[in-house]
Amino acid sequence: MLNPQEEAKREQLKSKCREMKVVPPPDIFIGLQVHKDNKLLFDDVQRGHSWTRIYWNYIFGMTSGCTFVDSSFGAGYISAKRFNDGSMSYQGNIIFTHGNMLTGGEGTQLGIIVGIGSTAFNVDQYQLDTVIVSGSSAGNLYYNASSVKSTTYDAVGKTWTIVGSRIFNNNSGGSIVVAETGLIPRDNNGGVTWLFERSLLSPAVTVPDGAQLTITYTLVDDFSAID
Amino acid sequence: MLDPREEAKFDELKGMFRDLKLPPPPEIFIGLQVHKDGELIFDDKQRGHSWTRNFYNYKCLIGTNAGYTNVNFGTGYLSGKNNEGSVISYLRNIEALTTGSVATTYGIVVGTSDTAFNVEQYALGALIAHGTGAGQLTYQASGFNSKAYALKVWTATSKRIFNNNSGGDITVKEIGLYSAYYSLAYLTERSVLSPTVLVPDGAQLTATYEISMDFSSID
Repeated sequence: MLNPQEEAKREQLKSKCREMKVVPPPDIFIGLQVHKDNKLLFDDVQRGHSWTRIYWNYIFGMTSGCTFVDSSFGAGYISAKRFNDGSMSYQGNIIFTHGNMLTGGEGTQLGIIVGIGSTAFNVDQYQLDTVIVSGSSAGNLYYNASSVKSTTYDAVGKTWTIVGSRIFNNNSGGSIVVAETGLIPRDNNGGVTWLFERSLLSPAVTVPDGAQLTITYTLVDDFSAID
Repeated sequence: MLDPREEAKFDELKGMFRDLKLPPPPEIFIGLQVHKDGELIFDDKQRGHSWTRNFYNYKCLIGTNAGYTNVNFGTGYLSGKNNEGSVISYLRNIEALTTGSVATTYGIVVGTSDTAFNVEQYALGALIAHGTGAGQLTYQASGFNSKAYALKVWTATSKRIFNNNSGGDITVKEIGLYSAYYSLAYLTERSVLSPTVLVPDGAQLTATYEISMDFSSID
């Protein structure tokens, strides 16, 4: 659930951004619902606030012309590590991404993903702690395709809201506790992917055998400084 | 020159981003130097704070997975507008702005208009043409020059040199950044200069864009 104190700080920040006429980074809200036998067993909305270094570098690189050619990763390097194996990415991959992190039908390598790890967030992470594999075996969740559901502009609040969701079915024969989620974009030319955001869930989400988890990422971009 | 009160407000804003561990928006500082006969006759640094809607939309598109809504341009549309005024759905990486040739549709560009900034602007008010005719400046290639990391702030620097071989003085009143996707150029930033910059005949103007982002909340 949302923390009122944090939400108040966010409102102050947005107000200051309006005053200075700059656009803050998008807000992330993660909706979590578990259904079984047509009953809603769990329903929560949590704030995601864990953009990774790869996302930071991506935003800076895309807006400044700074290239991704560094051979190391971490503070003091503009670079990216690939999601699948941690190898370094090159410039040609990352510049074509266009933030397509909410779409994808390729299992655990793209779009919204989930895991069972509870290791604290660290900005240098490039993978989930423990990704849940797509499938029907023990410990697996079946990943349906991620997709963007809507892109809307609120003329009153002057915000753009982009909603994407993914459904995970538990056919594993046992309960699974989802403790982390992430967003994985892919370059426009091929299969290179990165972790842009990882959120530790609090509370974690129990998905009983035979149940369905729906995760909805809502990204809100505040344009009130200019609209 | 920089306004200490405005800089203090930006420092306060960056502090708020740090507190929430969020990536702050990139900042722009514009260096302006005029040399003639080997002497520095003008030297100033101004804050650029006039990202256009093209930039805001681009940032939203790359940061959220939004799709283009390119029927129109303005409030409520995620689209771009090129320097000829056509609505476009190709807002590509700003990297393109740093790899400009001598063309006036790439990279750092200058003009003579002091029309107030408006976020919907898609071209300079009065672009100074490339050449040696009256009122023209000779544009050297615009290029990405360096990136630097210091005090947990990344700074990317691009610069362009403009030679005045026009036979007369030229007063530069506006400066901007054009990005481009193939032949589609679009304005991402425009700053009305204060003070303006007088470039005498035979002088050389060097404009430097420093785009920086504070990483101190994560580094």
